[in-house]
Amino acid sequence: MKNSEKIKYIDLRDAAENLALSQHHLVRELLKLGSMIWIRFDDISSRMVKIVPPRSHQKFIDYRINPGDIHCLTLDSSKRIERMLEKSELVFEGLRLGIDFGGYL
Amino acid sequence: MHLVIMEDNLEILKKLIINDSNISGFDKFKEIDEKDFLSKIKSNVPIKKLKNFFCTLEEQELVQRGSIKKIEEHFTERSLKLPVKERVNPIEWISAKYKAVHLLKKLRNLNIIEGSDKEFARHFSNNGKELSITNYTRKATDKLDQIEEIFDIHFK
Repeated sequence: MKNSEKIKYIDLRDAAENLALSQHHLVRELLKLGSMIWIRFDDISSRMVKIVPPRSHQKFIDYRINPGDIHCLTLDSSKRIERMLEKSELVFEGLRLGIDFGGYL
Repeated sequence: MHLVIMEDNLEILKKLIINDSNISGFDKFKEIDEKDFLSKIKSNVPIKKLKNFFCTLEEQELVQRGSIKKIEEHFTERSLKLPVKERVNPIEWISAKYKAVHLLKKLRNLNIIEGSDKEFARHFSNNGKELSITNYTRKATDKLDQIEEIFDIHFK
């Protein structure tokens, strides 16, 4: 991210409280606006994720997520978040991130 | 891990909420109108390069002085839809309108920036009004040498 374009983020829970809405309502409205849902990783440990390569490539690429990093979810995963919040069953496993990595996402 | 959203999006949602305590849930929101949301124009060149370009436009008295300070509010290199803050004024074009039309169309044709006529109209103004570039045909009398020379300096 370019420093000149530093974006500020707010926890979804705090934003929902601020607007006196449920987190589910808030996510639904954000998706209607075409806005993205993001994940902030914890400040303690780093994680390795797999970059899904194009079909012509065989190998997955390992990508390190540093503590405190923020990445946006793909649209499909954002919609999954909306459905999970509706049922109050939030699970992060299996969600996909949109990471711009040398043309791969 | 926490779910987070961009602070700018929170500000937009605040505008859309109906302030009536008797209304709750999804009914709390006004229908999202395109007037409520204006995305930054996608720039395919570094913002610094675009700033230099607008610096020349300022020097040549084509856009209002101080426009260069608004570049980051109107343009982004990111592919995401990023909202323009409500208080941000459009970039005022102070020269002949046909020059602005030529400049914006050329920026788009060269794939330097991306956007529709409608979007450009809301990011730029002329005499305080939206600068529409639609249905504007080039005339033989149009003097575009100055614009072409500016393009040559920055994008050749």
